[in-house]
Amino acid sequence: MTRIGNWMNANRWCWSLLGSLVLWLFIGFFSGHLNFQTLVVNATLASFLGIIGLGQMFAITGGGGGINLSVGYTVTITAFLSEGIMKGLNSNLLLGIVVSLLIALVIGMLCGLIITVFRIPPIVVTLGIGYLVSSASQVYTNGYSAGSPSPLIAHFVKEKLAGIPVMILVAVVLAVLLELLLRKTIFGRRLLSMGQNATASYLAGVPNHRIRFLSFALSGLLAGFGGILLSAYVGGAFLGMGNPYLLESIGVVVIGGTMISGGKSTAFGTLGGALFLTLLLTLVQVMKLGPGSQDIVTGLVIVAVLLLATRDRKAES
Amino acid sequence: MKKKFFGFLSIVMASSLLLAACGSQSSSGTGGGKNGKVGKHNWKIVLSNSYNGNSWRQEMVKSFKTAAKKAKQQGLIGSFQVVNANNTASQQVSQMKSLILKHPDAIVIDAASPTALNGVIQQANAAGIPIFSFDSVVSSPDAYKVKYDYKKMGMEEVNYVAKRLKGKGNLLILRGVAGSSVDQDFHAGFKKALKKYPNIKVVGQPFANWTETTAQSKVQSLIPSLPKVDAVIGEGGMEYGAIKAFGAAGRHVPIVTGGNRGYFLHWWKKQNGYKTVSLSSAPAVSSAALWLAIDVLNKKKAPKSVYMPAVKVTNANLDKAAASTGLKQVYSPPTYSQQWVAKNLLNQNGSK
Repeated sequence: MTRIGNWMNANRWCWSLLGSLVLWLFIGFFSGHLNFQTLVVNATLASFLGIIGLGQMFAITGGGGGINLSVGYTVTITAFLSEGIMKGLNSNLLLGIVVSLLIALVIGMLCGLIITVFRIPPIVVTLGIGYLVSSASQVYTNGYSAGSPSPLIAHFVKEKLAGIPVMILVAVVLAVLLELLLRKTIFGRRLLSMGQNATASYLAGVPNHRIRFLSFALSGLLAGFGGILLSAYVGGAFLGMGNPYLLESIGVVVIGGTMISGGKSTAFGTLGGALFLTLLLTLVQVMKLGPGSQDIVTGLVIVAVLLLATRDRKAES
Repeated sequence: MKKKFFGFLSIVMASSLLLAACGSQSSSGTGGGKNGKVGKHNWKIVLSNSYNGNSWRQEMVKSFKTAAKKAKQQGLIGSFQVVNANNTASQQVSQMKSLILKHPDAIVIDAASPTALNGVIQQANAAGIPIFSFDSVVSSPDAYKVKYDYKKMGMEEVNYVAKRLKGKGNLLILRGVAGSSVDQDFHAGFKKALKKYPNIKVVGQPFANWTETTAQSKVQSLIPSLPKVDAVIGEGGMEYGAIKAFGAAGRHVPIVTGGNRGYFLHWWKKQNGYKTVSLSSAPAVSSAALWLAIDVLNKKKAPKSVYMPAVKVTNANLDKAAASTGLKQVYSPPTYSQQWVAKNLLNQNGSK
């Protein structure tokens, strides 16, 4: 029994998945019938939040108050850009994806550059860049969605492979790759060590600036990837589309078991956190609570989960 | 140290500039001068719009501009301006404050909140600037109100669906933005009408912020845990998202009432014989508010509160409505005329 407990403590990501399972059972209880489809559909919708959350996770992992407040705006602008360039044509698909990803990468790099060169707190820099990006989308679109995603990508995000929606697979594969990046590569190990103690890692020869710069670049890139897929899934873009993803992306990272102060991260946990939050929102709907009590329940559950998680960590140390 | 300081300074400056740009002010129409009080043909009228991010609001602004240009050509006003906020009451309040300092002759406003702007509206009134609130109206007694009876629209939707279902079935309600006056009114209408039909069960009411894509994902995540849904009603701008969600889940699309959006109207037309009803406010209400403002400035007698008729689409006028509405538009008359306002609004007794 203690062995399982130890394993679960070491693999913190399984808590959010376990929590999601419990929520699924609750949804079954309140709706009167347990339906596997509920889990599948919610996981599909959660995969977008998960991908954007993975980007947020890299900004957080580096520590030093690392947080990326521009992810929501990056999602919006890449959603607009990709569908605006694709114009509903498969021939423009590649161009749309490449340009949108490049812009997202540039946004992330800009954040990383200003943070490292001028040593300004990430929270201020990313907020400023976020407003810049937000204005850019307003200018680009005039507030109006002009294009539409190419049929190929629109079809792809809704496709199923052996009964499993492709989006879930994309998110899981991405999480595996990023988990490997974090654990097995020099960049990943350096990022984690910097998050644990920036001074110690600097003295140990880690080029902190370069690592932080790269982590924000990656953060922007992943947000952009999420934005492209999201616009393909919903078939368009609109202003404010990415806004809910700003706070939720931070939420799912922390619910997933990543330490908000950095240095300890889990990509699987972030996906689990996304699933947990999505199921939680479905649960309060199924419980037919009023709008006020919906928010109360959501808030209480999140606080409870975080309390459990931190108590856990204290016990460990 | 110096480098750091200038870096910080440049960020602060850049972000404050951008913040200002976010509440982008687009100004149209010049001239007129500030002698507005002398000649009555030199009125300066400003539209304060709380949000410009959806098609309804964009058409609303367009309709205001069209009517204002016409009024200017006819010499009825001197100039006009449109100021957009970012959907927060605080930004709209600060914009209103700076507008009051410029002292236009009247402000037409689509408000971010029914209550948050009451203070600044009182200030405007004290400065002698009449306020004409429309669409999302304010509760301030100082403002003229051009309202839609959303409660009545909500009741009409329920009554229609109940009649189709013969008073028995499962109903899904799509709600707008929690806490907004429009959502409250619609909901009051739904609730009041549903009292008459005890056998109609509400199986869910997700908040989808009047956004098709939000409605799609909310309904999609909910569908597997719902029993068979017989009808979907809403507040407009979410019905097509719900229809797509039913399609994606491989479920039969139930009776869905609409809100006059192009996507929905075109889908409805394509279904050949699908029966439903569609009701909405018209974006052109901004032009009605403008004409009302001009009439009041010209000392015509007008009630403090007037009701606009809802624009309704049924199977009878569907073809015409769909033909005149683009996918991303809302079915509406392009603008209301001064004559229309005189005939339909000025003579209301306001006690309705």
